[in-house]
Amino acid sequence: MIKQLILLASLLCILPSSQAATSLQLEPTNGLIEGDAGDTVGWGFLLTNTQNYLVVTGAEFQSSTSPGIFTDFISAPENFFVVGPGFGASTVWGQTFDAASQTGVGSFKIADNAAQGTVFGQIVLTYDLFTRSPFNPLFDPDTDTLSNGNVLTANASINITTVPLPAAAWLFGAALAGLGFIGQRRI
Amino acid sequence: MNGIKRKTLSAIACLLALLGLFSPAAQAETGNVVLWNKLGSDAEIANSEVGPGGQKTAGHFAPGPFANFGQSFVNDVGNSNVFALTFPATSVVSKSKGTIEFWAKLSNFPSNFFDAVTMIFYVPPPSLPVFHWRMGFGSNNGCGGFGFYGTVGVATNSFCSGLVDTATQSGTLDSILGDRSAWHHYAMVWNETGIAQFGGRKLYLYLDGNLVTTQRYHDASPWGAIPDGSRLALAYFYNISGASVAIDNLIVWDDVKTDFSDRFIENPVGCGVGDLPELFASITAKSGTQTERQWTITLSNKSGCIAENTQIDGLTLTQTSGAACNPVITSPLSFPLGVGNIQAGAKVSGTTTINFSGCPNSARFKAVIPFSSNNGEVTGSKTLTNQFR
Repeated sequence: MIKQLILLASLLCILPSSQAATSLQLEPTNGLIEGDAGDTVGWGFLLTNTQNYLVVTGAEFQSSTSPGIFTDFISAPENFFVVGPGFGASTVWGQTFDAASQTGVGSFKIADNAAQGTVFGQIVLTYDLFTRSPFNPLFDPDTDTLSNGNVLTANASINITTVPLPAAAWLFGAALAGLGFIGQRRI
Repeated sequence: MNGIKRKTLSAIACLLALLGLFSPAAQAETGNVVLWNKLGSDAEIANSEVGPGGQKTAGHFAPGPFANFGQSFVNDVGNSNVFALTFPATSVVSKSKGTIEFWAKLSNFPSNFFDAVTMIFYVPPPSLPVFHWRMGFGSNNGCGGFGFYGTVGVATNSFCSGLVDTATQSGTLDSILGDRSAWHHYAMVWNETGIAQFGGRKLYLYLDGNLVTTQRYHDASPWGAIPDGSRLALAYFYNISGASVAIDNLIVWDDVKTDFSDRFIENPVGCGVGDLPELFASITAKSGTQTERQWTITLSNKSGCIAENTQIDGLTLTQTSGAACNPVITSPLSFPLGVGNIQAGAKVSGTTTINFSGCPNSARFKAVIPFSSNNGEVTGSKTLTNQFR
């Protein structure tokens, strides 16, 4: 929890002074995360919206090659948050990535057989805008919906550092060692 | 799961590929794509979809996605003559014939221009003259041409020798572009031996897909060869302070292209043998009353292939918050909801009507939208959470 607060504070400190009314910034800020084949990695975020009330409805990692599975955390119903000025909302929402507590934009499970190298893509965030905060008791989606299906994007990439040997390779190596040991005893 | 599943390529497609009939680059009446850079991100700049990667000058180009046309941005470089982005010219520009096309948006330029706004610039190695392949606006491009102009060919002696020059020769940015601050599509085509359908002239410009009437023609063939180490650069201003140019989706062909009706499609490579469309779904509008709430579901085709007989195969709502209720889809009475063919790069929408009677204002739902096209060869599904009615 303390780590998350420190991250959020650091993200707030590096906010550009002339930022747009609605913006998405990943953590790390260059969007590059790293892991081995089989690892689960992910992105934190800082989402800003100052003019109305924003609700995230989905997130995905888009890439021409995707050696793994992305899981959306930011729009999970139990992670519900309204980004906007007042009425239970906040103009800034940030979360560090934590696979166990399912916080951040989402996780990426790198496939066990993923090739070594960097996969380039982008995080695509879908959101709806409202003129009144959904936390406001007077909120009525029939009259307070401003727009649906809006999109924010941020460059994101995954550096797959090493590729674990398949189990068969370890078995083959052990068999070779065993044969060598037996041969040595017969001499 | 969100995303697209593709069925395995058909045996025929594989056979064609093995026979060498399947080319990774577009093969059309207009030749091959030799450079296609979407300019959508630093990664895309460094790794062109087709051809060599670009080299960015720090701080002078902020890339962005093509879809919203908003962010590929060449910052103001004022008098500094800094090229924001370059590609190796010798491998992407053919001296004999070719086409360069891109989208661009001018910002903070005066309508009456007396200085150069060059969006494409050919840059030879140091010590060689800086001529040509150039497209932009100016009061004088150095050869007497002004207005919207383009030049091609490598000068060998003086500034103007060895090049062809075409220009509108008059006007303001507004009279040429209409809205000078809007996105426009620019293209320059050339053939050193002349373009037959243009009466043998060697260079023409297209603006928003339309052939630009030219008034000046200057030719001193033959053109010199493109020296090794030359670059094709974006973008060059001269003496314009506070202005900027956004450029997107740069495409270079190795032949003369005369039909730019496909300029709205980011993918110039088209639909290859065995390729299938890629579809994305979203809920783009909600309207109406609680008992007759209309949700607009939009399917986007972000590929170079036509999506045929596309359909929304269902809409499932699962309540995640608020007092329990039971929304009923009243239209269509059953799925699938056919939305027809979707051209490459286009979007099509379908509407569903839902009766949310008894649902509180705070009720939220998870919506799952399965979709398909091409007789089931393409299937996908989109999950959207936190959906108020």
